[in-house]
Amino acid sequence: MTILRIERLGGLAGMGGMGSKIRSLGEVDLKVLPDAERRTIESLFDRPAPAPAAGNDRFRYRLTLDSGKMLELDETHVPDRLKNSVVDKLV
Amino acid sequence: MSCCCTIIPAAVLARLAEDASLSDGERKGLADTIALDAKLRRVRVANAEINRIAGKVNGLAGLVQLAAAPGIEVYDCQTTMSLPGTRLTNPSQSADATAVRAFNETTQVAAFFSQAFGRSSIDNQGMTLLSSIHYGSGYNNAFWNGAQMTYGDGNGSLFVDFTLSTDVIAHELTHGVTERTSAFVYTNEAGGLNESMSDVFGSMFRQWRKNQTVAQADWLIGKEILGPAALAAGYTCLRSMKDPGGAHCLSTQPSHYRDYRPGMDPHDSSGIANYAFYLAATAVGGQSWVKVGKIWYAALTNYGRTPNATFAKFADRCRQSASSLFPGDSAVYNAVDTAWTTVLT
Repeated sequence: MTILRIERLGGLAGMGGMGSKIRSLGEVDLKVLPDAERRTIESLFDRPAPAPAAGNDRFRYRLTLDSGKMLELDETHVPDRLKNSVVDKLV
Repeated sequence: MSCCCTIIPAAVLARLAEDASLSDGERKGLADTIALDAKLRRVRVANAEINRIAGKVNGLAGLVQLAAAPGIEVYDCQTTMSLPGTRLTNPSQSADATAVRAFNETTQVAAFFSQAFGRSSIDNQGMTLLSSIHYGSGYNNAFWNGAQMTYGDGNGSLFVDFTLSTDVIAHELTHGVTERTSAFVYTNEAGGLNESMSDVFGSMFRQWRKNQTVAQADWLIGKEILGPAALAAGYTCLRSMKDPGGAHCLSTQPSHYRDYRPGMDPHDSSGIANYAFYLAATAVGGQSWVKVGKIWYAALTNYGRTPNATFAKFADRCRQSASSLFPGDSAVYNAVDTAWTTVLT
């Protein structure tokens, strides 16, 4: 698994929702990351997703590997490198 | 009933206060925090009782309002994502316009809930309201995290400073009110209701702030936070309560239950209940918070915790609240009944 695709969802603006005009996408090539950082990110897929953080209008992140394995996490559980790769664009 | 909502549970504080790996100073600080938390809860309970008694005595209404005004605190995250950030000592006098707005508008939202609905802060016991500004770098969002409001500055293209829309500030604070009352979960129909309550009270606050009637209101959510790229593309708002499916909205929504799908993002499904409020309020006329707002407030706060409520259940509460708050006023009841009947088709 090399390319990790990231989609940011939700928030006050309901990004990525059925009627949303905003798509927020990013990707990270895991192959070029330092070993420790790559293992940390890969380990996210090896355990049950943590309970979402309390509150409302938080962002969620959908992480998808080349293999198709997919995980959805709230923003408090997503490493900064992944969050920072995402760009919000109008569709 | 006293509120026992703390970020760090008392049991955790107590355990840490006994942790030998911490310094004496740290353990004393934790023990002092436990004692202060208990005292603050007793003060809030006493405050609520003072308000209740004073409200029944002629001439003390001003004291009730004064006693009910909560503390307002503003923190600066300085583009980090560490909450709450650095506390600003005098935010209303800050050179930072964001700080001034966060302070002033949060103060006004508290006043709105107090004057329009008799509610003393988020917990109805005068809890201090915390807001953090400049959260993250180019952060295109604002949120409620269960304890406080938080505002990003926007990336300057799609969005700008999220404190610029008064309805956004009231939207986030209302999530706290919903959490303390009906406690709608953030999924399916209850999620749509949760989001709608924030848009409804956010929009009402915006109108209250401008002293507008329902006819004068634009019924837009997030109008002032759109950045130049969004405006140049022809968008005017995040959402419209008057026209949920409008092409000028950054997020179009369903306005009728027939278009609801389980699992929808709450910011999508909220369009149904938003439209019901718009229809009811404009049918009654005048200022939205005077009658229909009170009905919605009663429906939100008088029925205890109902985490998995449906749109239909909430509609029934609105009808019941219309009957009990405005007995014999068939125009008000019919407006509410017709609004909900319309959207639930």
